[in-house]
Amino acid sequence: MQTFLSHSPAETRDIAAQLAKNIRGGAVIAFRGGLGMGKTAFTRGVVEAMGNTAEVSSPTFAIVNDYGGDPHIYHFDMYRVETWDDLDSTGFFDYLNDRSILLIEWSENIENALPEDTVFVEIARGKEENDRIITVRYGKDDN
Amino acid sequence: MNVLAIESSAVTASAAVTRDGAVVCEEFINNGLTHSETLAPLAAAVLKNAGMALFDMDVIAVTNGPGSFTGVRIGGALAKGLATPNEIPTFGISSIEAAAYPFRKKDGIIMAAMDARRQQVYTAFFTAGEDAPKRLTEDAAISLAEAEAFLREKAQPVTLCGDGARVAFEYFTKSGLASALQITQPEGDCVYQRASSVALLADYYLMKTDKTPLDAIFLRPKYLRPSQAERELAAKS
Repeated sequence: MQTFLSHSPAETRDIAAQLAKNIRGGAVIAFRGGLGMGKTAFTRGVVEAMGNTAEVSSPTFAIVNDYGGDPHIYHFDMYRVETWDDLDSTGFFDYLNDRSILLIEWSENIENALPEDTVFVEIARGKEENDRIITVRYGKDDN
Repeated sequence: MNVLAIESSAVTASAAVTRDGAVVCEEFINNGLTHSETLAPLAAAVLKNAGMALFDMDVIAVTNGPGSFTGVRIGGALAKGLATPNEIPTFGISSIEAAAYPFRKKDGIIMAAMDARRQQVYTAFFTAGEDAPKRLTEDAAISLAEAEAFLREKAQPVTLCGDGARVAFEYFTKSGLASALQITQPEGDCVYQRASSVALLADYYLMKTDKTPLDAIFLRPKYLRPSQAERELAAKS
């Protein structure tokens, strides 16, 4: 487990970019934490650090954004996914392979479909309005 | 009869053209789930290399499941997209049956399986048949334990095929079934379903049985859902 303190979206992005150095194809990064915490900023940091120039936006309506690249990056928002059938119909299980990196917002909704070695990123509010405490857990056992 | 077949229900994708039950051209790709980019060019390539055009085709055959959710959708969408404006009828073939097709002359039980994760498979059991494998069970999403119970009861040699052959063989080796029964796992790429099998099955059903092709709008994917038992999806809040 690692903890980081961020004071701005830009810092969140830098922290994400730092973490991305250790990320390879097959990685699943699952976000925990509510609205306005900087999940999209974090995702942007990871995507840029992978040398991917795709424009990152929250996949609220699309459920999944495809950023392409090598490794191929997919960005999910599971907010509206409630059942196994819902999840199946997003194609989620097709994306779980060793060539892809998955970044998943609202991962709580699909907790039991996540692989054992998922990297969990929890973003919580800090003391000041723009402060964020970012906790990274490596795998379901790292709690 | 000329058939254009499209297959993208698993991690592999392929397209083929057959004429009167013989393969004219086939293309096969095993390069991850890139079907949305590769399948249409594959179909165009087989037509070109066969020296034929889309309007020469009597039917477009496609695997309509079970298998990869996105793969089945991509194949179905391409089949409909090619068929509708050209008024070519379509015909859906089970991906499981397509996987079993090359092994249709094998004695004993032919088990074609696709990996559905968590020790489950999309599968069906067949015995030998002349033009098509003879079906013993419908396509189903079942656990490998259930598959084993079926095979133990039949007590015959087993030929495994499909992209789930490897996980099934590993399971049957651990469980002891592989030492109780003679289980053959084909080598290399022949475990995968191929568009040529899809085309030849369509040719057989349409020429030698009373089955008829469908207007593309009636072509439907047949998804099977693997059981998630009582597992909750969301984290307990």
